[in-house]
Amino acid sequence: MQSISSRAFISAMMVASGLFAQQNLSENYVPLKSQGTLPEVFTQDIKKVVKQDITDLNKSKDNDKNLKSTYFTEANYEIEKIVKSGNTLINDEVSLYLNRLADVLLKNNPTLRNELHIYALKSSVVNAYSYDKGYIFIDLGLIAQAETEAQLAYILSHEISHYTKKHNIQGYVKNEKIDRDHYSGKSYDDKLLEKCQYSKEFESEADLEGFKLFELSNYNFTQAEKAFDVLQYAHLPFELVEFKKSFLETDYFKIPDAYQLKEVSSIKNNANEDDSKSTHPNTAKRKVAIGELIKNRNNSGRVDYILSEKDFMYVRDLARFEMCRLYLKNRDYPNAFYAAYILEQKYPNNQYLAEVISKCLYAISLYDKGDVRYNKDSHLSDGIVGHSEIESYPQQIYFLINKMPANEWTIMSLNYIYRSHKKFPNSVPLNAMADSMFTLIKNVSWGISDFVRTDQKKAAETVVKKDTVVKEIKSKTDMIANIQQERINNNHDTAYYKDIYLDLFMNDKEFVSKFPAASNVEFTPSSGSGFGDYKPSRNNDYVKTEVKRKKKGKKGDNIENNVKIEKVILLEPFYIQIDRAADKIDNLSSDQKQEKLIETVKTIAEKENFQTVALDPGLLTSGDVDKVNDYSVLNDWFFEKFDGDRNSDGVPIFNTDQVENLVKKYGTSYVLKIGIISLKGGRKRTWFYSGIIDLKTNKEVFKLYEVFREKDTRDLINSKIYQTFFELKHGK
Amino acid sequence: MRILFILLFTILLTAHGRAQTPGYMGKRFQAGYGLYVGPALRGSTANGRTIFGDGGNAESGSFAFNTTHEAYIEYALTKIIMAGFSVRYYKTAYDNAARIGYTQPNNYYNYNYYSNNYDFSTTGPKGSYSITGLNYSVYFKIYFRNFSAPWGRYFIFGPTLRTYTAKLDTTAMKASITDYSYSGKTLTYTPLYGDTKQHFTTFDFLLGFGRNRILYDHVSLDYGFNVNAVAFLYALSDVSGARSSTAGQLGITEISYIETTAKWRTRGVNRLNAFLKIGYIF
Repeated sequence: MQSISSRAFISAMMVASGLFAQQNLSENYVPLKSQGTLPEVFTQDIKKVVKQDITDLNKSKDNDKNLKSTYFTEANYEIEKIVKSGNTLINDEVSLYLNRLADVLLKNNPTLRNELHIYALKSSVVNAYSYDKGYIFIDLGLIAQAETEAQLAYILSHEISHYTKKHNIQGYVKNEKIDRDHYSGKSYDDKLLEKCQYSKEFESEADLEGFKLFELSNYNFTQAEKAFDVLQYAHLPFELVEFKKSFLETDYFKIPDAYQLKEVSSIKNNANEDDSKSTHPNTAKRKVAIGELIKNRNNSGRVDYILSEKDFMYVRDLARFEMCRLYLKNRDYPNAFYAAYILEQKYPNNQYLAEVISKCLYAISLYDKGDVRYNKDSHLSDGIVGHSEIESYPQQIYFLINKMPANEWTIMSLNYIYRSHKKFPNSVPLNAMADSMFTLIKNVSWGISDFVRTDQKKAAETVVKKDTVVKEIKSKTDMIANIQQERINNNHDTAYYKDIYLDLFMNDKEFVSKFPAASNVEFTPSSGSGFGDYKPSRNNDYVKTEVKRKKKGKKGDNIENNVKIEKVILLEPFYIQIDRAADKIDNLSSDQKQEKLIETVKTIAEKENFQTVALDPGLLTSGDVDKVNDYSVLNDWFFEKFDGDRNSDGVPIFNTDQVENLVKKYGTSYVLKIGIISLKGGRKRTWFYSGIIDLKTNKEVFKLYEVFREKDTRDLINSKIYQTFFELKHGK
Repeated sequence: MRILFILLFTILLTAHGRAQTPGYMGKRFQAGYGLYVGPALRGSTANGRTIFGDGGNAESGSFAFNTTHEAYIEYALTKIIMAGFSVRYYKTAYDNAARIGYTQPNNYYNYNYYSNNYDFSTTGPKGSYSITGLNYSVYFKIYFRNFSAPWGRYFIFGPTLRTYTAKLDTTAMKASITDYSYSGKTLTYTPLYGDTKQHFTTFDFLLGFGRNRILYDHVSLDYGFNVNAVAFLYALSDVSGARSSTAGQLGITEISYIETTAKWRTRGVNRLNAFLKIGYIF
């Protein structure tokens, strides 16, 4: 274990070496990455750790040895799983900041401090978690919502108290005892209430114990109370500001007032909600309890910031930028848009924010068109909901999305995206998205004539000969000549968006050359970006929302016959074993089988001389932090790709920028994912999946998905893995 | 031999082509030993036992099964097709449940007009005779969807040549005949069975289902059941009373007794079998 001084020394060295030079957020944002040396949990032999824990347990006099032994096994695997998930940030700016907070809180307790392992978790959820062995994870969603350093410190104190009071193991033992009590005649609800009751007791205890720890530092007591407000309003965005439609307007484009929701709903206060079936007491009760403690204490001289306000604001902004990325990953475009909009008020020239907003606009264009879809398995299971289901100012974004017709949204999106591209010409995603927007416009037969008023056309006619037909647009006069030849739809002559591109038509050669003036202009989008390759599934049809589904092949067939691949990036295979009798996932068995699966895949790939680049947290050394980051990027990419709708081949993955670098780095754009789900107890079932996604085209180029009424035997698994590699190498 | 040649040719052809066959981890051959077990119902085992006899000389009510031993070699032609060749050996016995037809005795009035029946009664020969059989099969296994040969569930079919040899002790297999209509006299005699060692050949068709598991990546464990289709179709007539009650009067002559009854018996042994094979894949 490192001592506090050695931790501080390492942090100082990292800062000195430039590893943690603060980002210039006014210009751009680079997503958070893990840094430095990977912690021991990556390289340890978990079986040995579990064995040691159980050996230590057996030396003690304990009545619940069996239960605790199971707990130690499951907890160790669980911790390892979280740390290696790709969502845990290691030695990054936010995690280091959290550790500095812990240093402040525990400056007089170095022993306890050294037991803690504190990490930021890449999740938009507003929560924090304490595990056995001092592992504490704080969601970026929580950090983004925190108002002061002191609030964050109190939340950290709360989590540390869970650890010191051993709530985790006690909770496990208690839960198991309640579940195993078959003879008391208690119903499921009775048992749930009982579990929630003692869980609430643990939470209350952690609140109070946490406060004692918090009190030892010089933080403002009232911030502990306010921390509960953060939790209370966690469902709202990290800030509430009015969304003004002018944000999307230009001198030539004014959005009608009818699209702006003027009055937004008030915010509901659920602080006193019924918490009988909740694991936590309601926030009102918790606030009262802390309020009682504060009442009798002298708060003078106590401060909101001990480290520094600047550092807190910076770290919180990092978390908020990450929220934009996480919302995009979850395909939650309205929230991503709103989060970026809030940050844009502070950082108006930030390229990353322009990219996020552009992605949202583009994605919603595709959503309107029916190509981006959601289903019950999606993170947004209800898709983009109506504004009435949202509270406060974010309603205005939802209102605009739902109110503005699809074609107008597309026109507006191209306007914003193209202008952002001009503002940040070096941005690859903006360039690619602008190209894709031109494709979208072209595919619905929008032409220049749709954006020229009749009187302007007449004016143009006086300049250009009437019989001029220009096939290839090389100049402004060519363009105007073509306008002359196009039919004007007089019904739309007065449409508010008619002038939206006027200045671009007149002054921007690139825009003119790319804009589909008529059907005689061929336009090829840039490729390889993950955006430009997108081809809409239907032409000339904005009205229908139903999309023709891709014709499915025979079950188990490759998606593309005879695809031959010799090198792949191999993502960590997954193995889920469901215990039917217990009606839950058997984590221990799943983890153990996953380890074997990894070995099998590796062995068979080697045997077949198949080139694989393993991006697997189970196969890393302490210096492989880059691979952890790469794994995380690909995991996020997969998460977005397979969020609910499996038939979204070709639809852009918006979390794609970093993937480009991976393709270059590893020399292949093919990513292989293998996974097994098996049922044990009762009827046996095994699901086998192996699939290859081409990161360049976002398409699944190989798929082997089969279901067996069998146990997950070794011969089944070997056979299918071998088949995967064989068919990849030789074609089907 | 011709069919073996065709099989060999097919294997060589598919081995050279870039077939879609993965085999099991690249291993396409498997060879091994199989044990087939079928219940000795209305027929005897080699050691003279039967579960439910047919009125013959076997010890009825025993826990009796016929066993067949097999050597096989198989090759994965494609992902779902496996071709194989096997030789099966078995030993059984016929417990002489069937009676022997008689020759009309001269100068005897032997038809009883009152009972509308012949008044002769014959018995089956004493003792039993042994049969050893060798079956040669060329077969194909078609693996079910999602399985890959040689691993998984399959349907098996293919032609089978059954050869078998009956060995008998003619002096021990005496029969008797009683004339009730005239004198009630019983005559014991030695029928004319022919050679003491007789060879026969029959054609049949193998059908079955099985499940092939692979242990430790090299050991194959194959289990299931199969039938000989022709033998199966004869099941009803073979187990009906024809051979015991009426055959004595209407059918089996002394000289055809061994051929007819050996055919019954070998059909019985091969009719339905459960099997367990253990092999090595390479």
